[in-house]
Amino acid sequence: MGRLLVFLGTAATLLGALAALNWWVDPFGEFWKPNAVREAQSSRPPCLVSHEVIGGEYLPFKLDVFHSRPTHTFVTGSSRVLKIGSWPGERTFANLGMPVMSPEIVLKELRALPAGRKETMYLGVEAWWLNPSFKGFDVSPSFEQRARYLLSRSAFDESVRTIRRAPYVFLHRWHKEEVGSSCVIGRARPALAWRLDGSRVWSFELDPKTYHPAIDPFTTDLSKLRTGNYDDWTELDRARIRDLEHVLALARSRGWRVVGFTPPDGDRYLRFFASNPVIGPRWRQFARLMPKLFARYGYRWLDFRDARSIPCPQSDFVDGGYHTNAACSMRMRQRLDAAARGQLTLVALGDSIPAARPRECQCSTGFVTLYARMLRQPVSVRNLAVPGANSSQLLELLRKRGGIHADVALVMIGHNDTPWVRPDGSLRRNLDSILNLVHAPDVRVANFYDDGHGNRKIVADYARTICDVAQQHGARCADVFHAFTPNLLAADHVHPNSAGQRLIARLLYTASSARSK
Amino acid sequence: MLFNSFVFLFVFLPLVVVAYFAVPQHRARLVLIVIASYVFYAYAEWWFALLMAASTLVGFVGGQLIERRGSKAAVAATVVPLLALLGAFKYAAFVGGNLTSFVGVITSQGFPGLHAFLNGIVLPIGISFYTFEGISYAVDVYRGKLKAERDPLRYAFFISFFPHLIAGPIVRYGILQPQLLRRHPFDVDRVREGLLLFALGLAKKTLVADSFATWVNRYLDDPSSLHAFEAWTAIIGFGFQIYFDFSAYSDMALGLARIFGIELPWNFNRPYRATSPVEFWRRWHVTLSTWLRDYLYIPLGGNRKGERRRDANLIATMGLGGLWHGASLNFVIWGLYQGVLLLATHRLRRLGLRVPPAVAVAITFVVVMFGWVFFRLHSASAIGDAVGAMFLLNGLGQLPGHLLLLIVAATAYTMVIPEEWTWNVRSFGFARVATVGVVLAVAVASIYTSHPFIYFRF
Repeated sequence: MGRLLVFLGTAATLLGALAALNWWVDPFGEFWKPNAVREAQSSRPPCLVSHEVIGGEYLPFKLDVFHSRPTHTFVTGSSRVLKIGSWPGERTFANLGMPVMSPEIVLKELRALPAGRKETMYLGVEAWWLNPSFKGFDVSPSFEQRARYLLSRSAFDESVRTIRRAPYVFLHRWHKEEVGSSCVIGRARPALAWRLDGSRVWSFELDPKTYHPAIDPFTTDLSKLRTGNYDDWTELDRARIRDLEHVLALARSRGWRVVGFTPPDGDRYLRFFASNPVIGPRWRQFARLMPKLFARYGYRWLDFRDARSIPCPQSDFVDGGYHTNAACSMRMRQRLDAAARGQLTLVALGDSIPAARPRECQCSTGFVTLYARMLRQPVSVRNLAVPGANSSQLLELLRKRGGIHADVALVMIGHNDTPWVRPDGSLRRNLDSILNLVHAPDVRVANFYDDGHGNRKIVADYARTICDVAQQHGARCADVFHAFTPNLLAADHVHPNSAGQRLIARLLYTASSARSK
Repeated sequence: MLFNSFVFLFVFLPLVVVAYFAVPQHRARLVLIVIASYVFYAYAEWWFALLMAASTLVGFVGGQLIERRGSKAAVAATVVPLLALLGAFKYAAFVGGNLTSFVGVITSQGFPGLHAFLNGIVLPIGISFYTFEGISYAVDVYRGKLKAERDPLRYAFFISFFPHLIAGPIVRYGILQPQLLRRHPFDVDRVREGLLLFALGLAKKTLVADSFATWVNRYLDDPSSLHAFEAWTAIIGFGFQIYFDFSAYSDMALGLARIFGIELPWNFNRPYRATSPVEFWRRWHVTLSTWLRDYLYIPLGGNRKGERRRDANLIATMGLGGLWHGASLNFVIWGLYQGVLLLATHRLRRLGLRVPPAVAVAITFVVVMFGWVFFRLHSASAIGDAVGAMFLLNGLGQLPGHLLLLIVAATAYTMVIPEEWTWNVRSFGFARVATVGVVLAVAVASIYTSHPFIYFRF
């Protein structure tokens, strides 16, 4: 019996010591450590929390973030939404996204949130979530999984490495580290850190001298691309679509506002996704399905797949597909905020007439702003009109930007294409190309008026041409040519005065759809 | 449930051992073990237990029928349903898939529905083992070696006893029956002995076999990129991996059974020390090779009907033995290769060719190791790539240092030290027992990154 006890006792003692060490050091972050987050919150200024401390305990961390702030707005989704953070001074926003998220985990997360609060949720849906082969992260490891971790040699090896790197871990499980000008609650190697609003930063963003992850090269190998998330994608996963519907139904039952979106990709991956025989068809199905799905529950969907629609420059994307640029994420946030407020986005394209510089039109407000006011709802206006531009230049501008995306687009171009200003003769072709690059559900085009400087017949031809092209694109056309009178011209006899601006705005507002004609 | 799983080590085994010795009545203990074994088996899929119950029922009723009638028809009535169960779950996808592919080539029809159905058939683990045990029981009763078991509980124990249920050894009822008739009181030395053997087996699996697996898989997962040195080292590495993996399981099974007072037959005896392929099969997976000899080779005529018939019987037996390992042509080829090796050995013996034992061991080692190519690699292209690399089609390449070191250490160990089940662990003193305790702790700590047992899939 003595030898049996020695045998079992030796093994049990060693395993007990191993478990105790692995639990204390917890090198892969398998145990939730709320005190580390409390310490970060109580520091002045507040610290960040290193990923070493959070590890795989995303769900309790994110729920803690939600509860520790007066959260009114939150975003959730995959690692590609993790850089969407709070505006400066904002305390009511939380980022509840997690790496390797899936609709099941979103549902689990939302069910854990309190029901009685009015919230606004931005839900970043990834196309690969609907790939049946994709497996999400297990946010609730079982007792057996935890036991296996505590008694694992690989965790022990990493514990020893951690202690060698940071011997204080023997007594204090974490430490306040300085990374650049920020403090981070962590250990010797805070490569990734979480802000207290739940958004994530790389340590190199805090201090360029610190660890910078290797950039994944561009790949068309589906088993490697985004760790194989798109691999073996044969159909849209019905179960996951049902889970998404449960998410939206839950949000509606709680009276939440929801805006759905899909995080963006760079140009190279966009082209690859569109043309790949495995991903392409599913990717397009996904894009068709999502607006309908969200609309069924009364929610808006913003298709950010193309980064230019946000707009974010290509330089924001590394080839691995992750946008590393926080500014791009915050531009997404801006669009999401606007959508949540029911705010439309309006883009104006054209020349000096829509640009409406006061010294030219002798007016304080151009027709673009007037039109926005007529909508009687919050509108975010981007006036991209360039004084002096003709249709070729506008087309070039749009090509450089890769087109524009908005809820409403106003186009007024052509005045500078006339033979007596800058003979070009390609207005029809250019306008056609311009409208191909304008992605908006509501496109309104205005033809231009005769300012008396040239041949009225030619202006009439141009005006007709503009409306013809608009009609072909299903856009509404405001017939300014026939409604405009000389007394609506400003003192320069070129631009419309205040009354002229009002007229153009009204004509645009009342213009009926070309399709309905 | 796997022996190298936490639920088995920390929940199932302690509970069953404590309950077994807490129950005083012998019959109640048998009931307990049968229930525990069904739980053990159903842990993967609940319906596996129903399948095993059906197999048990067929074997038990069949045994009595065979004893009453004593006819071949009664044997067939027992063996055919057992084989049908095995065939339906193990070979239907293989046969059906190949047939539909063949018909598909002729008729240009894809039969996607049928393919999906066949591919959806799940292989219940251990079915090959308990089917063979049921067949051996039926045949032994027919041959008069055994009396048919009247007690369904004892027969259910024989089929389901969890230490040998999933990956053997293939037990014959004649070995087990006398042990089931007597009560096994708690014997601390025997329990310690069983636990030590189990611990050594677990260590062999997680520390040795899995170390080989990590390196071997790195090379053999993509054989197209191999050169000669890498290919040979990887295949020899696999030969050691499968040996340590399977012999570890057998040691663990022997140890577990011993805790309950049951002695199971041994399965391995340092097979790479064999001086010929014939001897190799007397040392490798012995309970299978003797089963094949007694229930296939001898009924086919063995060596009693002339040399040609013997050769054909050997080839057929080894081919079917290969097929037993898995429904895949590569296993059949491996079996046929082993059959050819046995034939060649017989021929060379007849020629009176004698070589020094060390040379014989080396030659046997090489030819047996070469055969593992057909066992480990499943596709013709992968086998072609590996064999091509082994025969220098891709040049010599570099020696994989880590794997070579492991092979050298394993060769030295297996050539010098006898098989673990032969060790006299009962006489281990406090120091050795404590050392095995340390080894057990390290082995348990290595379970996290452990690979599944290779023979589970058979």
